[in-house]
Amino acid sequence: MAKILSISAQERKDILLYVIFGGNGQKLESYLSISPIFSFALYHIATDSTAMNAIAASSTAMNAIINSQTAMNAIINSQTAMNAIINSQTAMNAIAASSTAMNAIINSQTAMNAIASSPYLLDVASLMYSTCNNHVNKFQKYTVSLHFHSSARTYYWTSTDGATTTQPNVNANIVFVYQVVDNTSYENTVNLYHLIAPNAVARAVDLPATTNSETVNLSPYQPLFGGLKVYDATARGSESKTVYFYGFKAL
Amino acid sequence: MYIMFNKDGVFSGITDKIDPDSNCYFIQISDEIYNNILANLDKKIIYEQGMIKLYQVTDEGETLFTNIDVN
Repeated sequence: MAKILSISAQERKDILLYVIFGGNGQKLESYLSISPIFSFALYHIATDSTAMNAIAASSTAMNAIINSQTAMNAIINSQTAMNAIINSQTAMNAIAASSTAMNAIINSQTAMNAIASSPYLLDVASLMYSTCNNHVNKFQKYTVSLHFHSSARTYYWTSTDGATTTQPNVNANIVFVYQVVDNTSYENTVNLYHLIAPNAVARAVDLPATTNSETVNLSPYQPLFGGLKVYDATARGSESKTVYFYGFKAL
Repeated sequence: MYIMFNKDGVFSGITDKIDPDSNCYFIQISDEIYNNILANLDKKIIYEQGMIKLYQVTDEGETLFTNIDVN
């Protein structure tokens, strides 16, 4: 221990970076559990944009972070680290492929906000869905349809409150909308929102006018964080619109 | 499997586990009912007086499609 204390802060940071780029999450976790001085070095890495950009660009380094609970917690609580991750397709892929990482992110409102704003979100949406769908130990799955219409234009869903016209609190939920159906013969637009950002349209779904109902399949499934808000933006016709989705609660 | 309704009896999903933290009601359903509900997600589904009621929504309005007794 005395030997560890004798090395400089920069050396401790370099040692941790060496372990991170070695890709061994268990080794990283063991270093972080040796002494608070390595946790402090990790904090310096998580807040160093140069270091984090390099980590985010390396799938090996990202996997080491993901497989160390201490490192993962430090990363999701650092805005600098999350900025590096959301702007790297490599990092977003690593996150989307890991049920541990997805679970940690969905349990953190700050991290959900960051991931929801990634320019690569739709690129990794299918992978995110598969990860949530295939890990029943990390996620509870719901299959849901929400019906709404021009006189009740806004609907919400979270696993805690279910379908409701009253805005619920954000939950540790991710939602994948896969289909929107309009039972009116009018042209309509249905807006979808992340519940973590219920005032910013995440996706507008245009439903054309036909004599029969119109179905729009979303590809890839639209991922929405914290829960779902849907809004009948045009409110034409008295019959209902329906949004179909899979919801996941992070356990 | 369980079908889930909010406090007003509005359909809120089908799921494989009861969430003890949820404010919703969970009703255990057979595989037959599960498949029936899954095939009718386009219907308006509500829980009323011990029955799951499925309504067909058309341009003419809402008409009762079927009742499912889960008691």
